[in-house]
This record gives sequence, structure tokens and C-alpha cells, in this order.
Amino acid sequence: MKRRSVIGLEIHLQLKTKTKLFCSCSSDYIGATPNTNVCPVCLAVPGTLPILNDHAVELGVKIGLGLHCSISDNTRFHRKHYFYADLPKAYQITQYEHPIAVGGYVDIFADGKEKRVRVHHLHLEEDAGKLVHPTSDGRLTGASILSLTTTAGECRFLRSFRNPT
Amino acid sequence: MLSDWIPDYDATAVKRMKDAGAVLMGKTNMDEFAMGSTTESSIFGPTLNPRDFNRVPGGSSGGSAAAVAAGFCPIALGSDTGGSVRQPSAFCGVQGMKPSYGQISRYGIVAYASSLDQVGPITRNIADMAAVLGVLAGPDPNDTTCDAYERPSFSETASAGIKGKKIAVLTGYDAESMDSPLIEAIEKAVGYCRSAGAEIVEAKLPITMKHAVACYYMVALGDASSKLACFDGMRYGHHSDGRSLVEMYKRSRNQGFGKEVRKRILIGTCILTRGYYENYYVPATKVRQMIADEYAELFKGVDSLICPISPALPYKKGLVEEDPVRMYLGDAFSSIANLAGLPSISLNVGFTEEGLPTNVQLMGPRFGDAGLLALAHAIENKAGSPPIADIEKKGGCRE
Repeated sequence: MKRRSVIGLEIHLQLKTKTKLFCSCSSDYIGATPNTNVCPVCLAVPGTLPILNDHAVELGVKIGLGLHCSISDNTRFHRKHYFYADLPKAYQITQYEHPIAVGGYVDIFADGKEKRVRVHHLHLEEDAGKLVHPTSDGRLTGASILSLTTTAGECRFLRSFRNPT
Repeated sequence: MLSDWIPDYDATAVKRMKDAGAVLMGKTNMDEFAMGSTTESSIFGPTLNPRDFNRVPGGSSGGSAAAVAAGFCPIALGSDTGGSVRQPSAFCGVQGMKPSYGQISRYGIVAYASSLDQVGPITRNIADMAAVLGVLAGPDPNDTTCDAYERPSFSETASAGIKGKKIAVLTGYDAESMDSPLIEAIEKAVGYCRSAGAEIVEAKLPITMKHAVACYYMVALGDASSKLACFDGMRYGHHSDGRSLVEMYKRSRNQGFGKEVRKRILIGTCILTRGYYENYYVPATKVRQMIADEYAELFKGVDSLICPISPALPYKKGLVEEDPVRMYLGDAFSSIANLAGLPSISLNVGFTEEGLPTNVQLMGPRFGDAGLLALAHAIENKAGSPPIADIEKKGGCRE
């Protein structure tokens, strides 16, 4: 029986914003001491509210345009709920319906041919914290992520990567 | 859950009061996580109604309303999600306001339902109310839902009068099922408006009357289950150990939350799960918009609306245990303003023979807070502002 692989990718891009997606903590976590660059907002202290980082939106739009996407006039954030030690609010602020950009493509070379990988959508979301069991580190919590989702498509050309010559 | 918690930052509302020179006298009692209409769910015990010790002060901001009614302080703050400032104001016989959504910053308000919550002042007269609103209202970089529009001076505009204004009186609800002194209070308020030069018309709001309570509970409980999910005992609040992460969560939350809170979280979580979300929560958000639209249409033709705030006079203690649904239905009139984001004032216009307060509700268009205060002020000029409750006469508050 012949089988075909159908592969879609969801790629998380860490946006190079100075501060996190919803608070003014520095997002420069590399080398920082664990649990620094945190504040009541990204630690979900009661009574705090998210403030959207303009620059993250700008970067998202830029990347969207670069990938030939259609930029949404109206984009919305949703809460994705689950309980876990790296998720202070117990929900992640992400996008569900009405993401920041839809459609689009990126052309690549594979198997000696030009292939078009279609982008399904781009959406903004906040990063979770980092778990180094049994501790949790909030340096990353709330960092800006642009999630790029491709369409699920036939990726036979990827077979050549399995057996590089 | 938060009984021992001392916040390490001030809410914007508190900061603004402090900056304006207010003296913080203390914290007041409330229903746990603002979930309740009687203040009986507080783990610190119930609060007595200063007007009648056998009755509840209302809720969830019952402690604040009782403090003002008892003369402990001239001003108290509460938060109003479905009537939590205005209903206790009605039960205790003081003036309470829920400003427009976006009028006052919610930064520092422990959230119950983010799209419904609003800080509300409680005072004994409208002049104080206007002054407090002037201090509290204004944009805040910490709250993007707090609007940046240029507020007028609420104190100045409060004395503008209502001559020539068109005021609607709500009809089409079941007045028979309400306590009759509250119907008489509406008639009294309408009479005062007429003598102050306003034109009175009738208004029917069928969609709102039919759907407000159900819509409110869908939206509020869904949002509440979401906003209370952060209370897992890991970073703050009550913590119980467990053999696994999940067990720690379960123990911390089961032990830390009271019965009413757990009930509402469970219902809210259910409403947001697949199958229920599409059939309950999403339609509720659409009905919510329909309610807001019905009011927007109303306010194209009139300046304000007079209607009841509570269908009942202050409950006797223990109603929650007896008849919880009846208690939820008590939000029928008050929750509307939260759903539609409109300003609303609970205004005292008198007392029954037994000394129970009778308040009415005044509503205005979004960000029409100044006009609403002017209406309240005009009625208060005729009705008089309520006196401090005579708690000494009743045997003191140490009963």
C-alpha cells in the first residue's frame, strides 16, 4: 500500500521586540538570571491587565507582507485555557479567529525544483514560561511569538532530506 | 483563597484617591470574589444591614454600602459586575453608581468578568458622588479598556438640572412580582422629574427584559471561570501540597474557594467547553450586543431611563440557601448596565414605614455619566439625600 506524507508546520518565531507582548518587561532573556524580567502582569498577579505591544503588531504585519499574506483589518485575541506550571494566567493570550494575517506563501528550492509552501495564517501569541523541573522560570513568560502555520500539503520533496547524499 | 494576601501594588482607583488626599480607612466586607448578592458568602462572616439587622446589606459590595449607610465613612468603593455596587446601595439606602464601562481604570481590580467589571463609588449624596467620579475617572496606560475621552467636570455638570430633558420610564416588566414600595418609588421619582421640568415618556425594551439575566450569567460565569483560573496556589493565595501538580491545583482550589465560587467556576467552565460554547456562550455574546443595540436605539430618542434596581426590598438573611435562583433573578434589572456598558445610578428616594430603603435605577447612554449625575442630582434635590442609619438605636453594631 502506497502512503503519502501530508505535513504542515507550525513555526514559532520569537519577535525581536524590546519588551514582552503584553507588559513592559524586557524580553532580553538570554543570560538573564531566572525569574528576572518579570512583573505583576506577566506573573498574573490579580488585578493586572495585558497591554498590547505595538511593535509586535508592526513586526507581525511586516512579516505578513513579506510572505505575501493578506493583513486583517480587524484582528482579535482569544484566551486558550489550560492548567500548567508554566502558564501563570492559566490561559495563553493567543489568536484564534481573525489572526493578524492570512494566506501568503514562501517559495523554496527542494529536489532541484522550486516549490511553493503556502502559509495558512500568521498569529500573535504570548510565550509560556520555562520549566526546568521542578522549578519554573518566568523570564520568557509573555514574550512575543509570531506563529506561522503552513497549510498541510504533500511534502514528498522532504523525503530527499531523509537520505542526504 | 486570598484571605492573607496583601497586594504589592495599588489599584489605579486607590492611587487616584490617595493622590487626591483621601484617607483610606480600611477594607470592607464583600461576597467572595464578588460572587453574590448578600455578602453572606464572605469567609469573614456576613455583614448586617444598618437599616435592619435582620436583613442583608446586599452584595457583593455589601460592606462598602453598609459602611456608608452606617456613617462610618462618607465614601466607599466597590466593584460592580452585575449590580454589586448598586444593589447593596439600594438595600442599605445610599447612593451607588456604576459608571460607563471604560470610565474608570480596572487596573488593580481583582477580575470577576473583565468585560463587565467597573469600579463604583458609594456615597450618601450625589455631590460627593460627582466629586469622587471626577477623581477616579480618566485614562490609564495600565488599562487599555479605559477610554481616553476628555471628561467634563462631573461636579460642575451635576447641577445642570433636567429642564427640557426627555426621560423614559421602563414598562413591560412584571410589576406584580415586585415589592410594591419599589413601584411607588419609581412613580415618586417620575413625579420629581416632571416638577423639575423634564418630559416623561414610556419605553419598552422587550429583548432586554426577556434575556438580560440569562445572558448575564452566561457571559459572566464564562469569563469568571477564565479569570479565576490563575488562582492555583503556586504564586500567591492559598496553597495545599499534593503528590502531583494536578493534585496541588485541585486541593488548593477546592480548599481555597468557597461553595458559591466553586459553583460559578464549574458552570462557567462548562459553558466554555466544546458543544456548550457554540450553543450557550457565543449566542449569549450576540444577545448581549442586541441588548446594547436596543439601548442605543432608546437613547437616540431620550436622555435617560428610570427603572427598578432590584425587584425586591432587602432580603432577610439566609435567602441564598433557600432559593438561589430567586437571588440570581434579582440581577434582572441591574445586570443590564454591565452588559451594555452603560452608566447607572442607584438612587435613594425614600424609605418604607418599616424603615427599609427604596431606591430607583437611572440609566444613561455610554459615557453619558455627566448627564446621568445631573438627573440624579435633580431628583435628590426633591427627595433629599438619605440619612445615616441609626445603628445605636437598634442596639449598636456589636449585636
